[in-house]
Amino acid sequence: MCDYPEEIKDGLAALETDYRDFQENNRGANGFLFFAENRISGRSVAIKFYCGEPGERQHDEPRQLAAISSPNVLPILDARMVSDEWGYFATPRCLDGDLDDLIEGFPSVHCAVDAAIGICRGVSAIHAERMVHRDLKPGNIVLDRGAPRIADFGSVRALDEGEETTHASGHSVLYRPPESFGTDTYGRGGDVYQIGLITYQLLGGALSYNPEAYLNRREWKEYQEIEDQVDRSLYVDGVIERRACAGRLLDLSTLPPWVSGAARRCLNELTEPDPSKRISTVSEAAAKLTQVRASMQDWWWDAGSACVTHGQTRIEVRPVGDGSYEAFQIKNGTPRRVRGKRKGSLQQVVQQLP
Amino acid sequence: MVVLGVEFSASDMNYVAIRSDGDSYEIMTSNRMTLGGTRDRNALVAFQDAVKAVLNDVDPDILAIKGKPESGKMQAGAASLKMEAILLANTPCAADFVSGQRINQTDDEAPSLYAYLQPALKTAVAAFRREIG
Repeated sequence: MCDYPEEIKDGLAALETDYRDFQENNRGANGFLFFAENRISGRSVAIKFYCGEPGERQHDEPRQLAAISSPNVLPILDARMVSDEWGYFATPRCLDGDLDDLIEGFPSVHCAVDAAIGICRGVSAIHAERMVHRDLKPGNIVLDRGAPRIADFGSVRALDEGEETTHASGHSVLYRPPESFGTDTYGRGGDVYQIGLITYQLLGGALSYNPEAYLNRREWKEYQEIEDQVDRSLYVDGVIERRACAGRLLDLSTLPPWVSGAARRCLNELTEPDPSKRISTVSEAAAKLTQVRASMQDWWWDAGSACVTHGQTRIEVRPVGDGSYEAFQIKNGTPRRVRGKRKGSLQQVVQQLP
Repeated sequence: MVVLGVEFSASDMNYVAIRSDGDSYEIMTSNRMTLGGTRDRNALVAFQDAVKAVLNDVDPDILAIKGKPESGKMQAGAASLKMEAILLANTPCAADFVSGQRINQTDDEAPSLYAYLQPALKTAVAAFRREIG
């Protein structure tokens, strides 16, 4: 802990009276994040140190976090200043990881939609206070006993009286809504767009975090000719911006075959590049997602097989070599081929099932 | 004043929110929610989360629910009763159960709304008219 500013070292030393077992966490952007355990209650907490010029907006993040009351927004436990510029706030530590961990584990269909609806609930509480989040992405949403909790409030902005938009955030170009590039404005519809991208990822859609993955052959060639790292980064950001504005960031063909037409239409409506045609409120998004949930069976992946339960019977669509799949019915632990169903691609086999 | 009108139909909750500063009103939002299963805890929690998102967004002064009998030949189904319970448990305001008779006295319709949303609109309007006398 020797590379931190003196104020943080002093702050940590003072915190040792009440907390123990400090661990650094390198995921905390815009500050320094530590995990610790309260010496009396034994509760695990996350402590974030943040820095800001003294002034009206210095403590925006903890104040905004404290203003929201929702089970899908991380509550604030304590906040203090350690110097004129540095302060910290503590929140509960969520031990289940973040949404990126959930996405990597291929959640079941219903688990994915339930997480998206939970995010809508949290964002609706933020919007009700006339604030916009501006940086919703899987890494900023933690999981607490399965429920999503919006955690990072570093980009949250209050909308001025009579205004429906504010400036766009410069964070996470991948999740920036198209309208924010040209006009540098961001409204509630921007948060809806970001929920759409997250829902797409939760349902199994591919959205690479490697910026180079978005380059086509010509762009790759141009990119290789750029020497300066900053210019390279700006070039890739431009490519992602063009894709987002053209509505080509999502590739719905990467979604698993059990993702229904209703779900695909909903994803298109959530991520529509034109904000006037996009679903405009998170409550509307939540309502649509309940319909999407009801339109799909609860498929999940298990060791390379796609599984679904029909009553007491489990159906597994297993790979059987040469890239094809076949449906098996598992009853009392014994697999049997499902009668009348042919081998084929995953999509072909899934579509044959009731 | 904001009134959230709700009608339960099978496993759907149709809602229309209206806002008024006087005798007339405007439609704020409308939509349909679906309960995925009546004995599936996760489906009920997801429905509750969606209901809470609507309540946060609309912030109603009155919740108007199209009344359905809880017993008899015309009784509401399990899904309707569970959705109604979730809505009532989460609403921040008073609830007005609007009878079919009161709804029939309202001939308001909005051509911009789907047919399945018209009963929810009429429910909201009936509650609004009673409130303003």
